[in-house]
Amino acid sequence: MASVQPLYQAANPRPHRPPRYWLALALGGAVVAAMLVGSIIDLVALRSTIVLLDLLGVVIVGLITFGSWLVIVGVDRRPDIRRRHLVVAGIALSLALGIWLLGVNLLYAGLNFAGVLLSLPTTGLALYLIRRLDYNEREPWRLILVAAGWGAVVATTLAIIFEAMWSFSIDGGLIPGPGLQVSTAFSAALLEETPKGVAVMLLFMVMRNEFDDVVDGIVYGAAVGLGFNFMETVVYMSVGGFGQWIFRQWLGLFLGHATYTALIGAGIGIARQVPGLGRKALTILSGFIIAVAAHFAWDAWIWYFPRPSDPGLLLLSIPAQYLAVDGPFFIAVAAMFILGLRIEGRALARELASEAATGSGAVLPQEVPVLVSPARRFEARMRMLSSRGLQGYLWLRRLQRAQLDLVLERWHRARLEIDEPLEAELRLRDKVLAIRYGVRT
Amino acid sequence: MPDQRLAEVRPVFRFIVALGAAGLVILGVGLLQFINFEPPGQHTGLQARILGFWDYDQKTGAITGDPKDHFKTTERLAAEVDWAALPPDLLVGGHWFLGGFALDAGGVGPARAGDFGPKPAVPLQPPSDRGTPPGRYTFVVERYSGLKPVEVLARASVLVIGGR
Repeated sequence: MASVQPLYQAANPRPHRPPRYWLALALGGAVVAAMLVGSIIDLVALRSTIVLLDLLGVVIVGLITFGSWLVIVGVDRRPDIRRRHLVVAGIALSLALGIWLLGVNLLYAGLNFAGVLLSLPTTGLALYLIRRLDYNEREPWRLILVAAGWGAVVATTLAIIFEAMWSFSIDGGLIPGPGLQVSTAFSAALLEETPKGVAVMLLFMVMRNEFDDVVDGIVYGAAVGLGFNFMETVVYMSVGGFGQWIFRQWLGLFLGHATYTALIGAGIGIARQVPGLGRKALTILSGFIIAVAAHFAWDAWIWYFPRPSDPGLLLLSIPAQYLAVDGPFFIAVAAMFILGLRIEGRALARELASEAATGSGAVLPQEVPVLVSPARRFEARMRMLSSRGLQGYLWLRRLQRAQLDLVLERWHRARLEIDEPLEAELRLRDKVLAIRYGVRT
Repeated sequence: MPDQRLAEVRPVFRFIVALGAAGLVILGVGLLQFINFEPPGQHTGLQARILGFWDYDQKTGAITGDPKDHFKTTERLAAEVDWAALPPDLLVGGHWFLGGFALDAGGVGPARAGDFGPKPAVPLQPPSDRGTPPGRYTFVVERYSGLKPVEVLARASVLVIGGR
């Protein structure tokens, strides 16, 4: 008997390659090419052995790009050859890590293991909390970690290369003092936010089905920023000691890089949903400008704050500085996050009711009020835990997540902002029904 | 239909555009600040010559050995400038800065170039007694107008790396 291709095969993995994939490829290629040219210019112009690290950076970025791509393809697109892709990705990422550690080791003569060990739990906790806040549809850990990893290794490497070029070419002619401080602050803001923003942009282009709206943009942006902040803490602790850990991993954990890149992510997330190319460009540009401006404000103007000689007053003044300079931008991110959750909540209520009205059985009318509310979803899972044990709890959690995935897909389809075929929605509906009736898929 | 789609996300759309406009204002203030501290039209064409970087003996106040392009964190170092090559009445100074952060790490001046003697060493002053923190240090020779530096006459960098 001839084999019959299932009807839904076309849905996920997707057979169509939207133009944005090619755009993402071009963007990635441009980044690597810029790094290569930048490293060579650094090497020729600065004539210092330290720029050899820049060239190592190109290799590292290439390996991490390759490894990340294999992970995404292996996990999301081609589960049939997952093992092979993951093994090759593991080798590529390990090699990148090894070269990177060697580079850091070379520069600072002894990797700051204490810094790494101290900063991992705080950064990990921050990533966990940010992911938890996205309570309607939590982003997959693999993408959160890819985002943080790019922020930590790729974005920092890119920043080092281009800041060295700026320092040589532009700062080289400036008088040390406030003018140079402004120039350095602008270069740090522009050249650190750009590679961080590129990471969010690539996620937006390649993983569109996991990038729903402003909420997701903020989550991914903050993850990239937290990764960057992790690396910066480790490096700065080599010079500034334990105090840097307090400043960067506690006081400024959510206020510095996490906030700046969350602003970029917010712009990209809003662009996901506004109609019209002009509006999309405007939102992405606005997010980028405010991120650069926020970063610039911190680096350029923090020096104007009074520095009390009394150690107690100095300790109190530092949180005040964080709140005064970065606080307003953090509040802006929080406001957009809350607005985004409200928009999401209203859309979920509407689409859940519509789905229940179809009578497909994927969402039952009595489930709608529960699924709309995160608290009631949790309450339902706890009831299941007490009546059916852990297995029942996990089953209900899977069911709820699949139901929310389905209605978010319906939402995007209703808004004409989805490029997958309709079969994707049918497939999601089948997945919900399979979980509900205990069919192994 | 596009209107309905926009209406749903209009609050966040307006919010981010307003933030973008605020960002332009912040960057505009930064540009004005930059122009204030880097006024155009100060270029004289004069150039100083930094002869190199040497190990520095704190006790004698003199440089020792051969010039180097990098130092260990445990080593003290100093720059040497050919002050005699500059017009003797020119008001100049030489200062050390740490990396891109422009943290002052010691220096001399402002004084007339003729008052420095032919080649006095300008030692780098570490911020603490624990040695010189690793990083890229920049030494800059500046021309002054009054007490304000107005032009960079020479600049060179040296690397301090870890190690015992």
